[in-house]
Amino acid sequence: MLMIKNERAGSLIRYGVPFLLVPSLAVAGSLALGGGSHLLVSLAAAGLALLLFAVGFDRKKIGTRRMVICAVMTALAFAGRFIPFLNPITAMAVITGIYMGSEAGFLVGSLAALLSNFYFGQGPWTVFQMLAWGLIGFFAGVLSKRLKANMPLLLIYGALCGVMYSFIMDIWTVLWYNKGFSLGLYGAALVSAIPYTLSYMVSNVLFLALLFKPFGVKLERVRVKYGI
Amino acid sequence: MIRRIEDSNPIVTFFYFACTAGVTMFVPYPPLLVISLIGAVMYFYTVKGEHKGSFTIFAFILFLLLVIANPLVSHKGDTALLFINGRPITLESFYFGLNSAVMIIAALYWFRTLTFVLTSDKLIYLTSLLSKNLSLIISMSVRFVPLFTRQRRKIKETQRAMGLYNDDSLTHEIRSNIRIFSILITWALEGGITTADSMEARGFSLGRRTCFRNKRIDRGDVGLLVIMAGLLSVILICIVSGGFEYSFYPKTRIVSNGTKDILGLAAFCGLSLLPVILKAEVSLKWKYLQRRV
Repeated sequence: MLMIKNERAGSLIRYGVPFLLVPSLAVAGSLALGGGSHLLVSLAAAGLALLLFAVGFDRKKIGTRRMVICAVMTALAFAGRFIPFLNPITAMAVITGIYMGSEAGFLVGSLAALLSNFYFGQGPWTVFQMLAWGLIGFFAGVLSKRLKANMPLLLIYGALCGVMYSFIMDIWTVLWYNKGFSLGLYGAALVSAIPYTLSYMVSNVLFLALLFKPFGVKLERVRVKYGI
Repeated sequence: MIRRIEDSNPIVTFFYFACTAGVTMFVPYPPLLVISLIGAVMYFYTVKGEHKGSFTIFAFILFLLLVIANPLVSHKGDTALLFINGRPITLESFYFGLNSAVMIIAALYWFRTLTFVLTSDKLIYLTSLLSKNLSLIISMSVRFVPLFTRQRRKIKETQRAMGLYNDDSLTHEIRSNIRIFSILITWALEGGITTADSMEARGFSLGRRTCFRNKRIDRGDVGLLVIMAGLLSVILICIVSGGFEYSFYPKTRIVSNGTKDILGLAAFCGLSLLPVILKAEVSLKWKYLQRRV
């Protein structure tokens, strides 16, 4: 009983600190420090969340097999970003999250973002991309039972992720350009990003529809065969 | 011995870019941004890298767009230049857009240079300081990409030789490619399991692990770190004690607090020109040695 309790508390701390405590600290910090510091605080919060995840990851025992599978999925997602106009990272993160657990989903999303940006340009946005794609994979893992059973729900989740991803990244664009939030600029950024948002939505839905079944069968098979 | 920034320990390289890009992004003081842009462009053109010309063209177009964007959206400021649809286009808002544009372009140049300089081995070194598992996963995925590309080609050739690859029409081609991709995934996952078992068999999960680190921190690295930390602290003291004052609205003005600002700017100048200075020193030494021979 104590064991279960400890484990629960452990996982609560592991997920609670990066995903709840750090963002709330960020909001509090930007309110306390006043205007002009949103940028610094948001960047620091996102970076801290990633750092905590990385450090927590080393403390945990994950199986060697699961680790190598994560590396394979990251490589596939990373290589898939070279397809013109379409972007399969979200789909890969979601699939990994659903079949291999939320932590693996976070890992694949964030690492694929980090590595592919060595070809597509690093920037301060890398941190936010890592966090956004990581969280998409993470929540797919949390909702895995429902998403696995219900294909339309999965596709809706994919489309929603595309929109949310674009919205979150544009908040960051405006903060960076304007040193503070401005609704007019945010609207302009959203409008100018419509082609990208559409491309994200289309590619998420397309790749999830095309890849989910075959990938699911293969990952499930590997899981059953080797007992990961 | 002090080496160039890009040849030093990855910690030095990373710290350098964190300082320069960080100051550029968080201190929007116009003279400082101009220095940053000059330093970034000079460093960008001294390192090895591809597609430099096209990046500069891209940066220039982006710069123009960013300068135009702010006056069209924001109408704050006192000096109206002209009216469009009854809304003023102000000089202040134009200055603000110009300042933001310089900042963004300078930061883009710093980050692009970082991408050239921070190769995958350095990235693996840096992540191994954080988490050994993470750096292992990164090194594996970096290695998997060319492996998968090669395997994909092999599968395609085999399928073609077996008469299963059909590119008569677009739908056939897509179907054949999906088939190749599916084979590749199965192969990759099975190969991954084999790799994992092989690692286990060699005692991967037993006991403590160490990382392969082919770079050490030597005296030159410490020297560079001390220099950079010193320059950064001068800049930070200048910021904290109220230097670098500026405001754009309602009237653009840049306050100069005399020695404090000059010291801060000089420190940042040293910081952003550090790689170019180091490079010049190395090439001078090389010429000197050549002459002696």
